[in-house]
Amino acid sequence: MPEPTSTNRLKTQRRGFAVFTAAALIILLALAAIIFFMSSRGIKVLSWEFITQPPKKGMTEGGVFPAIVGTFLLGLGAMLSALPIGVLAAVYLTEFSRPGRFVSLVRIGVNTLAGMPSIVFGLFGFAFFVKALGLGVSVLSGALTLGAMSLPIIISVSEEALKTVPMTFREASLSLGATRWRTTLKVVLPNAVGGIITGAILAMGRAVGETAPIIFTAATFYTRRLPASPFDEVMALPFHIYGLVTEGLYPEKQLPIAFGSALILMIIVLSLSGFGIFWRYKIRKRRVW
Amino acid sequence: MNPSGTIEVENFSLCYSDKPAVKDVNLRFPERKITAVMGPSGCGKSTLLRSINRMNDLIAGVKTRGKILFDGENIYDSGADIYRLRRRIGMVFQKPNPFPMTIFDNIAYGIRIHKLAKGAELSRRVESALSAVNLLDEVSDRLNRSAMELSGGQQQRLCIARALAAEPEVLLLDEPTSALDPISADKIECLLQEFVGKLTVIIVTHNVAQAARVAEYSGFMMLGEMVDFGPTKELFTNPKNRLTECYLNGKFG
Repeated sequence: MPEPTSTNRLKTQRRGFAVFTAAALIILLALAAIIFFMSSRGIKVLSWEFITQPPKKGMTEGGVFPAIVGTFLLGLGAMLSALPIGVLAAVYLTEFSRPGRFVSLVRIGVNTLAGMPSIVFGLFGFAFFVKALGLGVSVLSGALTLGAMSLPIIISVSEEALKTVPMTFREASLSLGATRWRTTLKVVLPNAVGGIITGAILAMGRAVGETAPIIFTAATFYTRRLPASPFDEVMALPFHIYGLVTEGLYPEKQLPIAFGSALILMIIVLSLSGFGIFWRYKIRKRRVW
Repeated sequence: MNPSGTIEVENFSLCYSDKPAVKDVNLRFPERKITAVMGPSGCGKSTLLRSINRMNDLIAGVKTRGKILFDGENIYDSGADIYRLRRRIGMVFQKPNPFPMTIFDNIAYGIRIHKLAKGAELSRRVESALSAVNLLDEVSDRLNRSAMELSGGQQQRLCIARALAAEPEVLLLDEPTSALDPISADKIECLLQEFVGKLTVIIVTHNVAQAARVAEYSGFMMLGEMVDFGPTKELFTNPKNRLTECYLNGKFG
């Protein structure tokens, strides 16, 4: 058999690369398609009134203001509940623990939690926060449920952030006679906090887009007012969209509102991720070690 | 200055998991003098150094046998206070590792954690530590700037000053100049001479010439064993061990 010429080899290589490039392109196309489709369908109902007014006439008119507020409240509440536990657990895992049974068990637990379907979190939240703790269908129950769901992400982004702090900083501190505790507080955490917060923002972006965890725990289909306390139920964009599409008497009026709501939700989620990624980039550039 | 600072190593061995790194070392580091420990990479010299302030405790699976006595007390006793020990035995690492804080806060770190001083006295001690490493003149107008802005050589002197500020009696240096340019390295070598009579200095180096220049006593390690130890002049002119002779002549290293 004759040895293939170098032009032939180049051709084969080019054909191969073309397949990979196409695969990469499909990802961009999918993203562009979603953004284009949602924008073109949703833009029609988008207006100042739509963003700032409560819904009217059984969802067929008016805006989604309470749902936007509710989405932010749930996301914020989820982070406030998940961050302290997540960061403390991550500090334990990276700074204080020695490899052993307990640590393996915790890691298995974190991974299992990460793989749990979101509807399971929803049911758990209903059984535990809503019923057992008696918090009712409320912002609080929903935020805690979303927080539980976000824990594995918070733990892993915090661990990543802690691991980027060079070992040599810890050594310097310990060699001066500092305790591990002091070292963590004064040297490790201050240098990891930026990474932890940006990670939390990304996690929040994912949490606010979730529907299943809030269906039974926090969300209401229709209310014209904002929650007065953490124990009130609340509207939220994902569940609002779900309701508009599956319930109600005037689907032809509701569907455009659903697309408008979806567009807003998409903008919120993408802005949160965009902000998180941008901030992380800034931190990495500013990093001096 | 505290008139103590003796380090005696007695039948000391150390294993990482099951891998022996230091084997049955016996020696007394002369107090308030400079001692160099030489040897090829992986000979256990850094491990021995890190045993003296118990920095090996951080590594999982480390086992030790024998004793290291600091002013007559075994630092591996179960009741030993490692935080006080590490204040009294300062350490400087191969790569300069200032904290990403201001120059002032770097030096003040040890003083603050051990509550040695505060307020005006703290500032005074920070400045005196910086002047002890001949860095004060170079940085006096930017004590509140980040230590990361300094050059590598300045950073390493800062790290020495940071260790000195905690008022140690012993200073351990783990190849402190190997990451530096020759001029910066020379400054540090000269600096070490100023510590003679004040501090027990132990410097680990794979640079034979450096040991000859700076140290009054030298030891040579090989495969975890201290094969030779004595006054540097004797060791260099008349090594007792053939391995030492080969190493000093650059036959391996």
